[in-house]
Amino acid sequence: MAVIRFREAIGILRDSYLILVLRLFVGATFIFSAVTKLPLQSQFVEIVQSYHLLPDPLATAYGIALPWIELLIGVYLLLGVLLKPSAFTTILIGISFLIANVSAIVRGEQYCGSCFGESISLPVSQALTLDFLLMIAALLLLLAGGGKQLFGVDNWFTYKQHTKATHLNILNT
Amino acid sequence: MWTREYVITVLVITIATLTIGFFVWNSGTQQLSPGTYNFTCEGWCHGAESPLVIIDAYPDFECPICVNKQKLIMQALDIYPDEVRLDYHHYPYNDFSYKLAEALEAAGEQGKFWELHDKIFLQAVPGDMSDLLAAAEDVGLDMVLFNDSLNSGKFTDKVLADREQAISDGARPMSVYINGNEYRKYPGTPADLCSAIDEELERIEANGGN
Repeated sequence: MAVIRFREAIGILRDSYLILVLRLFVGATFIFSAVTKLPLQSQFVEIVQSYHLLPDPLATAYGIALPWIELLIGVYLLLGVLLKPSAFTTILIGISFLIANVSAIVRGEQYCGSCFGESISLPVSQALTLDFLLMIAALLLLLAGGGKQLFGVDNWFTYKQHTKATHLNILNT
Repeated sequence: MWTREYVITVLVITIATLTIGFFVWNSGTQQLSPGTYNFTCEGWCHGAESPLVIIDAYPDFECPICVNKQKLIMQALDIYPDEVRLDYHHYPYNDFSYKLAEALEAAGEQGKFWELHDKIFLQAVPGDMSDLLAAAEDVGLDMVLFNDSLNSGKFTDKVLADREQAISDGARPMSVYINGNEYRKYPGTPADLCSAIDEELERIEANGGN
C-alpha cells in the first residue's frame, strides 16, 4: 500500500505543469539573484568574508563563483537543460544560504545584505523561508527529473531520440 | 540523450549565458561622481604633495578585504612617493566601525590620524573598546583627551556626515577608486595595484598630463 502511494506521489510530481512551475520559480529566483549580485561582486565577496564562516581564500572563491553559478543554474532550469544536476546544485547552494542566514540570525542581523545585492533588503526570516522553498522545489525537481517537461531542451532531445528509435524499429520490422 | 547535438546545445547555452553575465558584471564598474576626487586635499590625505594619481578609499574595518586593500595602498604610497596620494573617507558599514571611525577623528584631533590608521590597518583591527584603547595608547595619544572625545560623541556627527557625503559621491561601501574609477580586485596583489597605478600614469602621460 505504502509503495503504491509513493508511486502515486512520484506520478503527481512528474506532472509536466508542476515541473514547469518549479523550474520557473527556482530559475527566475536564481537569475534575479545573480543579476543583482554581479555588478556589485566586490561588495558581495566582502560581505561573504565578513560572515567569517569560511577561511578568507575560500570565502573569496565562493563570493566570486556563486553569482555565476546562480546565473547558469537559473538559465539551465528556465530552459530545461541538465535538470537533475541543476536541481542537485540548487540544493547544495540552498544549504550554504541556510547556514549563512542562520549565522546572520545568531549575530543579531535584521536583514540579509547579500541576498539580492542592493535591490531588495530582505529580512533574514524571509530569506530563510525562501531558502527552504528553493530547496524543497529543487528536491521535487530532482525526484521528478525523469518526468516529461514542458518547454524543456532536455525533453526535446529525449523526444527526438525516442522518435528516431521508433522509426528504426519500424524500419527493422 | 548525450548526443553530439545535445552537448553542443548545452555548450552554446553556457557560453551565451556567461557572455551576458560578463556584460552585467562589467556594468558594475563604477565611477565616482564628477569632481569627487580632488587634487586639492580636503580631508584625510596621505602621500604625494602634487599627486598624479589619487586613491579614494572607503574602507570598513570589519571587512578583511578592506583591511588587505588598505595595506596594499600603504605599500603603493611607498613605491610611488611623488605620484600617488591616498584620500581616506569614512564609510563605516558595521556597528563597531562607527566607533573606530570616531576614534580616528579623535586621533586626528591630536595630529595622529595616520599613526592610529596604520596601527589599525597594518597591525590589528581592534575588536572591542579595550583593544581600541590599547591601540590608542600605543600610538602615544593623550588618553584623557581621547576618551573625552569618544565618550562625548564629539565626532559622531562628523562621521555620519562623511558617510552621507560618501553616498552622495556615488561611492560604494568598502570600495577603492583610482582617479575616480573603481578598482575591482579582491583585494588583489601589490603587483595588481601597481599595474593599475602604472596604467593610470601612462594614460595621464598619453593625454599630456591630464
